[in-house]
Amino acid sequence: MNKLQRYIFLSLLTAAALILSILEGMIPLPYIAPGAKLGLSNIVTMTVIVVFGFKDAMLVVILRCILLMLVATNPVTFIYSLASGIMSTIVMSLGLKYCKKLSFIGVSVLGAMTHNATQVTVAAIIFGTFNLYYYLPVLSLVSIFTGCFVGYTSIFVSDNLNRTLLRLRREV
Amino acid sequence: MKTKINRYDIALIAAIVIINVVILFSGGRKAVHADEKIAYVYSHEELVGEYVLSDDYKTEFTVGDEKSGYNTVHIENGEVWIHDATCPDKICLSQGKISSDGEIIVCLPNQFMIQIEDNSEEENDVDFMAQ
Repeated sequence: MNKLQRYIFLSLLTAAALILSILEGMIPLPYIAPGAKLGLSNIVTMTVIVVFGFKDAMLVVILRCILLMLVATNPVTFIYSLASGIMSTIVMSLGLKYCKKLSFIGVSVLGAMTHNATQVTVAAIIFGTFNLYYYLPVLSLVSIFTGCFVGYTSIFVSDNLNRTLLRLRREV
Repeated sequence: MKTKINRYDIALIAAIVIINVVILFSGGRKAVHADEKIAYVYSHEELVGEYVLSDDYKTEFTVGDEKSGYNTVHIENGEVWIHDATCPDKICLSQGKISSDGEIIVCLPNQFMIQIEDNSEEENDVDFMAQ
């Protein structure tokens, strides 16, 4: 796979992550706690970490956050999504590298938890109140379900992507 | 490929569930009150009562006695005001009704104070910001 093909795939995945982030806001969810959401764009983050590696995943996450700010939300949300995206990418790639016994599902649960914890931390810093940490246990419990869902989906997505890339290599 | 859920995943998830449930039930008591509006009543620098201000809660009570001076507090519709007092200046009466976070009524002659703490507003802000 040459450089051009690599960048085409990364930009396609960034676009997919952006669309997932926007669609996620349109799905009505039962109100559990502020900040509880599906985290569908984590599917893309997870897939890129598995197929392309940590650096490209970071690139995709940062690009997705910037594009999301320009397309759908505001600069304040950008701070939240960027911080939590970067932190969960770091934790997920560390998890894949060092916790060899965990499957994708376990790793993505860790990533979802980091995502929520970072978001609560950023909110606590911005608002200057640590009362917000009372939400963290609830959010962590919610993130187990979303993490399982994201992990299970990314298994199929990364499997498919790997097969596509293999075929591409054979043709070239 | 590590593509199937295995017992290490289940162990991780179980550990997270247990830790969070323990935190929720041990430290979560204040979280239950997080969205409530509470009036703290102080007399002679001591906390003598906490009243949760909801829309349908109504009560009237007196702090202090005839000899050293008293204040009669009235709570209705999430608002607090002084109904009657023995103090000479009646400043506590003229402070009117209080209902939002941080507002206080003070009666210096009787060393009496009511303070409202409201955490729900803060949450609404966060809810709006974190969309």
